Amino acid sequence: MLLEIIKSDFKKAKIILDEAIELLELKYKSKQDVSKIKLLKARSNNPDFELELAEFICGDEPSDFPYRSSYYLTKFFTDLGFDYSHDGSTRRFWVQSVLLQMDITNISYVIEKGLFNRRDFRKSAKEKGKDEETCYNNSIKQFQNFINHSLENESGIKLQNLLDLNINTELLFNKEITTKDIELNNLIKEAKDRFYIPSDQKIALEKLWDAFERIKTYFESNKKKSSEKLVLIISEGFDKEIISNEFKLLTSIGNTFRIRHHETDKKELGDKKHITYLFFRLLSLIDLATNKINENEN
Amino acid sequence: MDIKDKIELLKTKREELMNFTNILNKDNLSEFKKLKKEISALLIDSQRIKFNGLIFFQKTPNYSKDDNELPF
Repeated sequence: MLLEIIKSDFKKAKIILDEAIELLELKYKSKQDVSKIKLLKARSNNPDFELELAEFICGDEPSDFPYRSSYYLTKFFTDLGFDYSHDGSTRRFWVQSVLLQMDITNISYVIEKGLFNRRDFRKSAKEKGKDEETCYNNSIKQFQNFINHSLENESGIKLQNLLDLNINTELLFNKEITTKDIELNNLIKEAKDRFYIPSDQKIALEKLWDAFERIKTYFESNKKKSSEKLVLIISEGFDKEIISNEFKLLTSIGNTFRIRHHETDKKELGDKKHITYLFFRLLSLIDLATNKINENEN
Repeated sequence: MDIKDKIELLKTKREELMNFTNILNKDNLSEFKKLKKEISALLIDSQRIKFNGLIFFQKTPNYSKDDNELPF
């Protein structure tokens, strides 16, 4: 015998090359599959991406993710339709090795359907004597931090490739609002955080509309005077009428639909696509407003 | 090299690499190592680190330069 070929390394190499090609193709075609691009970028930018994700899947303390023993790790992948069986080695290294053999589509699937499986959180919270909702929301935050940390991990990657593709990405993921109004900052942050949770998107929209009403009184309690000043600052170098109309229209939408007000004559927002549309439309305006406020104050 | 050319080159190199999956042996080892270097140069950041960490083959204890046979 001369050489022993390590076939799993060829499999891992194929995944690496597939994703390198996919990243370049996305860049070339400027596709807007933001979540996939973001995950790809995070994976490409962070050498420990699989290990850190593995630690979430294993659920070791102090993580709020459900703890998974050897048996439950095998079950985790089997339930998702993958044929992997834990070999008794260190759990997180074994999961890392499994993840290294997966392409980004399967990684996305593992995160969505496995890592954030609500049933596992319910069972784990009951066993630990913790509140399920708190564990679930903390885990979402821990995961978001992991992704942001992966993207921030400086190793020469050009994040603008990602940011230029879709303004939603920048607005949702990469911005910390730092106006002098702490309550306003908190409302925007809460709206963004909640928007990640599908069942909370309507509340996210309500919080964002609260932030919109709040920002109108940023300069003084007289809403009319304060709004006029805000419109003036935002419009500088652009078009006052357009910005003013945008404020009026969004205010009218807020008063017409059941977002902040719940009287019986308010129109329902039943379609999630409309909620998403309104969320990003308003978020764009608020983002512009806070940028301009900061610019003006500095 | 523009992005389109790089994509095509990576696809070609990926195919060349996968062709080695069953035929890697002493005679084509230097060719394989050359290919590995070429691919590594095309990758960036973590992709390159992960790719360079792959060993693809190992010499067995009774390795002999005269031995041309593979166990499969």
